[in-house]
Amino acid sequence: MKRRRKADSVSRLTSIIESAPTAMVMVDREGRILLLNCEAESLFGYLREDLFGQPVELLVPQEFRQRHPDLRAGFFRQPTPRRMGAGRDLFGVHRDGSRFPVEIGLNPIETDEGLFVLSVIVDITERKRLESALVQANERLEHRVRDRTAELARQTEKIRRANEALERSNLELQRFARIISHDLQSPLRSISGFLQLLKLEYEDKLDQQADDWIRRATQATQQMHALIRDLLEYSRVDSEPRPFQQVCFISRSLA
Amino acid sequence: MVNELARSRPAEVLLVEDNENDALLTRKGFERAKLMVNLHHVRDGEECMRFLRKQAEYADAPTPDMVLLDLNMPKMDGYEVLSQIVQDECLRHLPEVILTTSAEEREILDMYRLRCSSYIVKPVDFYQFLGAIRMIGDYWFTVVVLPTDTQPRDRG
Repeated sequence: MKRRRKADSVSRLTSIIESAPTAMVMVDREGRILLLNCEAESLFGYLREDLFGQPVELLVPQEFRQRHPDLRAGFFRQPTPRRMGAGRDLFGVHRDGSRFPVEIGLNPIETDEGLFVLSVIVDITERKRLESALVQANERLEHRVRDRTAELARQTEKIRRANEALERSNLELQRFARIISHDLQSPLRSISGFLQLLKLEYEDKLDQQADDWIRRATQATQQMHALIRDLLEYSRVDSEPRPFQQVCFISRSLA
Repeated sequence: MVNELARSRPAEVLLVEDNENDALLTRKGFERAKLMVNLHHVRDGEECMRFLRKQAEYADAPTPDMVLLDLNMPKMDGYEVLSQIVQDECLRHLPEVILTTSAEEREILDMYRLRCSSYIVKPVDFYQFLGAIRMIGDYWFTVVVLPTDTQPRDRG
C-alpha cells in the first residue's frame, strides 16, 4: 500500500515535471540523468532517450565539467533548495556545441530509490540580450548627455565671450562718445567765443548783413553745443547710471 | 577787511593753458572785466613749473597771486602740476583755480582731494565765460585776502 502510494507520487511528480513550462532535469547522486521534460529536450537539442543514464556534465560547458562532480557531491551533503552558482554566470551547452546563459535552481527530491536532485533550468538568453541592450542604451544615453553637456558648455562659453566683447565695445563706445564730445567742445567754444567777441566789439561797426550772419553763426554754435552736451550726457547715462529724481515743474512765480 | 591787492598793484595771474584760442579768449575776458590783472600764459605743465620755480627763461618771473590751471595738457597735465605744487613748501600756498572743459565727477573729486582752491568748468557761452572770469577776479582779488609774505616759515 505504502509502496503504491510512493509509486503514485513519483508518477505524479513525473507528470508535473513533464507539463512544466520550464526545462527540468533530474539526476542522481552520481550525476546520471534520470528524467527530463520536453522543454529540456528542446533547450539542449537532445531526445530524452539520448540522455537517460548519461552524465549531466554533458550539458555543462567543457571548462566546468571537471569541477562539477565535486560541486554536486557538496549539494548532496547539504541538500536544500538553492540557486546554482551564486554570483557566477552559468551556461548550458546545446547538442550542436553552442552555449547559452542559464539560471538553475536545485531542489532535492527524496524518493524510494534515494535522494535525487531536480534542476530547473531557465534560458536567460533573451534577458541577457535585453540587459545588454539596456546597458548599451544607457551608455548611448550617457554619451549623449555628455555630448549635450559639452555642447551646452561650449555655447555658454560662446555667449560669455560674446557678452564680454559686447561689454568691451559698449565701454569703447561710451569712451569714444565722451572723448569726441570733449574734443568737439573745445573748438566750438573758440568759435562761439570769437563770434561773441565779434558781436561785442564790432556790432555797430559792420552792416546789417554782417550782424545777421554773426547772429546765424552764433545760433548754429548754440545748436551744436546742445548736441554735444546731449552726446556727453548720453555717454554718462550708460557708464554711470544715476537714479531718476522727482522734480517740481511748478515755477516759483506761480507757486 | 579790504584786500590789499585791490589797491596796491595789479594781480599776477598765471594761466596754464595749451589751447591758444582759449588763452586768447581768457585774456579778452580779463580785459573786458576791467580787472587789474597781469596775465601770464604758459602752454603746459612743465613750463608752468619752470615759471613757478623761476627757472630758465622764467628767472625773472613774478610769483603769481593765483594760478588758473587747465587739466588736459601735453607733457605734464593739470593733475601732475597740482600734485607737485602741493608737495612744494614754496608753492603750496598758491591759490590753484582749475579752469577746464571736463566736468567728470572723478576729476573734480581728484582735484579737490589735492586741495585745489576751486574747480570751474569753462562755460561754452562767451557771455557766461566773461561772467565767470569777472567772478573769479572779484572773489580772489577783492573778497579774499591772499598772503603777501610767501616765504615758508621755519616752525622748528
